[in-house]
Formats: sequence, structure tokens, C-alpha cells
Amino acid sequence: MAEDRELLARVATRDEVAFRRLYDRYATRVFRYALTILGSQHLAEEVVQETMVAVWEGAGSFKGSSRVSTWIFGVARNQAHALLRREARGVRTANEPLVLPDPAGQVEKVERVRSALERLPPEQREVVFFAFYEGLSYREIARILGIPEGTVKSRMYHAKRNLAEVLA
Amino acid sequence: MNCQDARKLIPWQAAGSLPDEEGAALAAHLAGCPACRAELAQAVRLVRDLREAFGLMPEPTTEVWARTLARARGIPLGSLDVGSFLLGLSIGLSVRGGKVPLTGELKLFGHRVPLFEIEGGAR
Repeated sequence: MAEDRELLARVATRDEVAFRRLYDRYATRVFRYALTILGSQHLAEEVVQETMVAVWEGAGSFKGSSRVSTWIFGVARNQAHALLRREARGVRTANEPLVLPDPAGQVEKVERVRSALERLPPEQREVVFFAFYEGLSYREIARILGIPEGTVKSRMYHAKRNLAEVLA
Repeated sequence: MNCQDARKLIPWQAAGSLPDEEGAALAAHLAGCPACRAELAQAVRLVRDLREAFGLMPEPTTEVWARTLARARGIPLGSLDVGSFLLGLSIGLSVRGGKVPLTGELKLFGHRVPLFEIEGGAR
């Protein structure tokens, strides 16, 4: 989006007002992405912070060959997977359940969806998030994740089958 | 297109992000395949339910912005301020991302306007 590019250009000049606006546009989306694959609010907040600091420091190096959202989610992906690797090494443990609050009172449905999502491996969960929540195409997702388009389609195929089985 | 190929595209069609060319090929297959049409209907429900679930996830706490801004500004080592609230000049030295930048800001009615930033060497 043109507004994202304009904000990022201003961030590159150390404009804190633009940085705040860019943060407001992306913090919740990055947080929900990180929460989807990490399952920990604490770690998801760490991803938001590290991602946005990287955006602040790297705004001037944005080449403009992709959408700003693709670039920011690519940074977030690297941060989130670095934490996943750290967790796998046992540096810190994230055992919080994936939190899906239920203000509308649809407890059972939301719980079933939460449970189905948690059963997916992280690499399928992130494809589902980007495709269904962010509305990204498999080409954009392949770019963010740095994997072939065929792999994205394959992950989605298996994710959809797994989700349909659990939610049927 | 056979059913196996169609089912790899159906989730993307349900999410509304399938490119036009593949969408046309899928539509041609769906016209003659009730099983894949049922698969698409199921995928549409799945997208709706997941979108709703993602939308109900919490947001980051307000402290995250404060921590992010503090990290972006770096750890202050020292600053020199001259002038007043209405008009002033601030020159600061900080540690940020392994560097020690020297920054200058014009302060105008409480707002900070960046004037210059000189990157220092690595720690």
C-alpha cells in the first residue's frame, strides 16, 4: 500500500510519528502471527518488539521490490523462527495455551478451532495464518517464508485436511 | 485438471487469493465435479471460522510500544540541551544496535524534529 511505503520512507528519516503509525498498523498483526506459531504471548510480544526495532533500523534499506507488509512479515518470520529454535534448545519454555478470548460467547466453536490449530505443526499454522487471516496469495507467502510456491501449496493442502478432520 | 490438482487450489480459492488463470481452470473442473464443489464449500466454512478465530486473538499490551521505542532510540549515554520548551536544540549520544550514533534534534513547542545523525563506530 502506498501509505505503508510513505510511512516507511519517513521512518527511514527517523520520524517517530510515522514509526508509531506503522507500529499501529502492524503490531497486532505481527503479534497474532507470532502467537499462532509460538503459542506464547510473552514470546509473541518479543517478536513484535524485535521486528519493529528491525524495521526502524532497516527502513532505509527497503528496496521497494515487494510490498511493505511482505517485508515486515519476512522480518517477523525470521524473529519468530529464531525464538522457535531457541525454545527447541530449551533456553526458555513456552507452555502457555494459544489464547483465543471469546467475547461473543461462542466458547465451544472457538475452542474447537483453537484446538485444531494447535495440532498443526508450526510451518502449517503460519501458512494458514497468512492465507486465511492476512489474505495473502501462495506467491506472497512463498516470498515471506523463503520457500518454493509448491511447498506452500503442499503445506496448505495438508493443513486443510488436518483442520477439516478435526473440525468436521 | 484432476481432483488431486483441484484440491490443492481449493483452499486458495476459498480464501479469495487464487490467481485468475488457475481460478478459471478450477472453475471448469468444479462445473463437472460435485465432490470438489463440496470440498470448496467446506473450505469456505473453514476460512470463515479460522478468520473469526484469528480475529479474536488478543493484542499486544501497551507496554510493547514503550519498550520498542526505547530500543529504537537506544541507550542514552548523555545529551546536551539548550533553549526552552518553545525552541531548543538537543545533541545526544547513545548506544543503538552496536553503534554509538550522535544525534541532533530541534525542539519546537515540545515536538522533536531530527536534524542530523552521525553513525559512530561499533562498540
